Amino acid sequence: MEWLLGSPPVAFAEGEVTLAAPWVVYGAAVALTAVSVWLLLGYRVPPRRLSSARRLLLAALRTAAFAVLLLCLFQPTLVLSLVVPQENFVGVLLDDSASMRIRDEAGGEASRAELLLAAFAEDPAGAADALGPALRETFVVRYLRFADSAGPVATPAELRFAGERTDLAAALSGAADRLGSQPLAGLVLLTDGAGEDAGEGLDEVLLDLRARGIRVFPVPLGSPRFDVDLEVGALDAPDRVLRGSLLEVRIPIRARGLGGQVARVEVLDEGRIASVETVRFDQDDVETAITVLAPTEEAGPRRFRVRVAPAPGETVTRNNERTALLHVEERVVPILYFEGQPRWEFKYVRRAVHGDGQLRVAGLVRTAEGKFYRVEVTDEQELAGGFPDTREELFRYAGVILGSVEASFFTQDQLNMLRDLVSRRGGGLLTLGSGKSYHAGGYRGTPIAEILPLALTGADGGTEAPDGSSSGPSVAERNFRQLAIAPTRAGRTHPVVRLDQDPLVNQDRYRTLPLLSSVNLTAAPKPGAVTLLEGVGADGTREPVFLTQRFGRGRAASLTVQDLWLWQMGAEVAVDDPTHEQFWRRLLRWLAAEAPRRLEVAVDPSRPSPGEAVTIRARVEDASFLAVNDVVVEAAVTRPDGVVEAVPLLWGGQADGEYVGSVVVETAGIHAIEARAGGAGFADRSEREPASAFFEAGPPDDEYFNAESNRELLERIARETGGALIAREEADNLVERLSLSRSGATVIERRELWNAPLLFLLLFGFLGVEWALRAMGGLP
Amino acid sequence: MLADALGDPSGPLAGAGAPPHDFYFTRAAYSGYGGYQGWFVDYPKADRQFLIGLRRLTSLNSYEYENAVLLTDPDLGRFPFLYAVEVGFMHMTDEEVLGLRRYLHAGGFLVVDDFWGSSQWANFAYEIGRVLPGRPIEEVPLDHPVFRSVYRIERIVQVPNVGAGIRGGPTWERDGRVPMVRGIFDDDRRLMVLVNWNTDLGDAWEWAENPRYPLPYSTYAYRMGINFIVYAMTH
Repeated sequence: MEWLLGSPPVAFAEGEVTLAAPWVVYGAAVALTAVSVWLLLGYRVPPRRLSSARRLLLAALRTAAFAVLLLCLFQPTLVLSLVVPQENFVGVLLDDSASMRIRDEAGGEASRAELLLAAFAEDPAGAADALGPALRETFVVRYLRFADSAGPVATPAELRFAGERTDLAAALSGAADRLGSQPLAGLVLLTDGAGEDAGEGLDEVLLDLRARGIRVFPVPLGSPRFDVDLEVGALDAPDRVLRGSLLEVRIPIRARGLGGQVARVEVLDEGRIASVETVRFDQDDVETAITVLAPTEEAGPRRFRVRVAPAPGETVTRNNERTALLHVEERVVPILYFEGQPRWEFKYVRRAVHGDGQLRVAGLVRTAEGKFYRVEVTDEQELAGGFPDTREELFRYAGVILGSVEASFFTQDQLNMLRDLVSRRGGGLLTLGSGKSYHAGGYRGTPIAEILPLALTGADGGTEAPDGSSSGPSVAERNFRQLAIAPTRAGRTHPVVRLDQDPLVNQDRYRTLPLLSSVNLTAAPKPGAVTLLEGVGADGTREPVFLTQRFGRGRAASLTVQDLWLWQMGAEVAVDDPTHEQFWRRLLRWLAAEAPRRLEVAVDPSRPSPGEAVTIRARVEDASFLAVNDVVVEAAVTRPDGVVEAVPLLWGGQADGEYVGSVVVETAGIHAIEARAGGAGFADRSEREPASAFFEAGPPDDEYFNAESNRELLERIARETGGALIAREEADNLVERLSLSRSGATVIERRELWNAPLLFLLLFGFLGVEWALRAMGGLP
Repeated sequence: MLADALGDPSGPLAGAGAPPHDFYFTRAAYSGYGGYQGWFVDYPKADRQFLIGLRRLTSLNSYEYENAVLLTDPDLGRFPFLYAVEVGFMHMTDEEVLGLRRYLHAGGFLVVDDFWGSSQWANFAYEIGRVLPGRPIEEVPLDHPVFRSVYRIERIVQVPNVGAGIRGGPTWERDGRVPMVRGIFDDDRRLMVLVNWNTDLGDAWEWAENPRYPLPYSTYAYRMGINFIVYAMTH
């Protein structure tokens, strides 16, 4: 192409084509046109053997030939702005991060780093097309290394390829600042673009480069797709979990080249295997996610490591594991269980959670009208007046269970409070099936109905027998049905419902449990609700039995069966069978353990590097869970070496109840934060205990994640700065493009185009074809 | 044979489709020496009479009729409250022992009533020892929650049988002059078995409607019974 045009195509893209002919030429052109018209008229009265289509074609060919001739006469010229040799700088940005050590070049024979070094070797053995020499021939080359930080290096040989992070934004803006005052032809970026947050913060930098006219020419290194690889994505796990609860971790896994194979996924609690799952990949290129439940047995800051066993032939194995620091809490979650009448469920729920030091289920039973019996209360005052009638009293509990109690028992305010317990305080509400629950309890249209995952629509089922008489079976009797309980698809991986890690054992355990009964009308799940257990009636009909949904800040759950205690007392269940205990403990923990407390503290980022500042954020609420802005909050940060630093947290005025402070991390390791609140607004003794959080400082661990060469990102950098993606072997192309980049010290070069071989070829082509056609037609 | 004695129970399992009530006053049907069916004493009138009071005095959704269940019945666990009388003549089969042991270990609650004197005590202690070997029978102090759950019981009263009650005494039988409430506790100090010795709460329920039977005994017996049930259903 270059031969045809007389200049490389890129020159046409970068330069400008003008017509340089003086005015007399235009006069000649007019004359020439007149001649050509006369010539064409020669075809007007042709011999009869020429068809009209043929005549038209011949005329067109001759016209085209004249047009080419005309174009030559106009003296077409390519105007280029070329950099002056050795007067312009090129910044060569070299990726010095650890991912450059990945050996995925030359069929796994060479690492990315090796190829980079070869391209810039001082004396490239037989590599005449190497980038380094080609650039040095025309430009003053400045080398800059980058990884987590950026800076100049004398030669690429100084690179160590050990950076724990790739920060492209910092690298590019650093290079622009350093070289921006020089005549800069452009930046050449040698990188794999790999690393979890390699592209973070690029938007602004690219805009700046574009504004300053600095073009970036990325030279991608590494394979854009590994042949065989397993990668664990960012873990989705809570920051904290109550000791003894099942930790629910969602693990995204990306598999390459492992279609039809199985991988073993382990969750380790401080090195000890806590849970094992297997995952099967249907195709070669799969992004999937599995949910693993792992027990949490010891309290404190715990490192939970997720590990996928390496597959044979994997390019990178360091992306097969991830670690999350979790706060396994040792505290008591208070729950209120209210029954409108003595019921066995009450006894067996209490038995189930007995011995679980993390749950306190305060019980209140209405034994007769206006008469209540309290159990597991901490003092004489607790629940002394029956069901709480102030928010302060009710919100002491992180969760509430409502048993067999009719809606009319509560005042409107109490019903509103129960809704607020979930929506505003962030607690959990569990409703149980009974003759006084849901429709039968008159809950339709109440604030409770808003929270429930069940839609209380349709008829109430009436209060009388179907024939209108008051005798006959009651509503409860008519609705009574026995149900075999089975987990739904969502339930099989839910921490409450999954009884055994093995899906088959889990299914069997449900199959052997006693039938339960319900007297409530079946109700459909609300949109957004999740059904975890369903009941199968004698006729095979299925209905939701255990449903949950989020409501505001908290959770709501409904059981429609009335006798879960049969899982403890039924003849089908062995005396030492743990199902009943396990179910209730998990249910109540799930319901209430995540309810916020009046003082909460969190850190950002959760895994800072030494030298980085960490923001500590506390949220403070009063006894009725309204944000307070006038308390004194202080955090004590305990470093890994035991040194304690006091950090005052101040109300920033941005969000109610939010107090912020920051601390600069000095050492790697686990830091503990303990925040305390005091002052008039927080004088209530019930919640004066401090809130705690942990974070681990250390080098970031993201170099081996998303470690495939990120072409998309590099293409974007090129596109947005006006540069181009250059292959490693295209040294000439790179030099050409840089030479034409219109920045730096440049000279204007005019290249005449009339002598381009293409024009001659066209001219002779048109005339030749025309002559041939005429000859075939027997014309002169 | 025992099953025959139950006849056609009007229990909850009859009349399929009837929803289980929250509470069934369930009587333990067990074997006695020489075929003696001591469990049958005062049945079913005492049970029905008690249930009338229970339904009136509490919010409990209870089944209104008696419900006798064999200790070997696989459905025994569906009735976590069990009432047994005349245990001085109890002589359980091995199957009954196993059934009752399973029941109590799973979380069932047994109330024993209407047996008198040291020889009957010895028999009961032997029989319950077969069910719960190694577990002592202890005094239940008056400050125990079972005496506070609904009514406050300040002292243990000797409730005489109907004849003695109407005659005006004596209140005791055999050598059982001092009424006692004793219990067997589980590992977490929850009552599993509550033993009313040298007293006959059942008669006080059964004859509560009899104008000649002293009302204070009935009142006391109802209070005790209700307390036992509410305790059983909350602990």
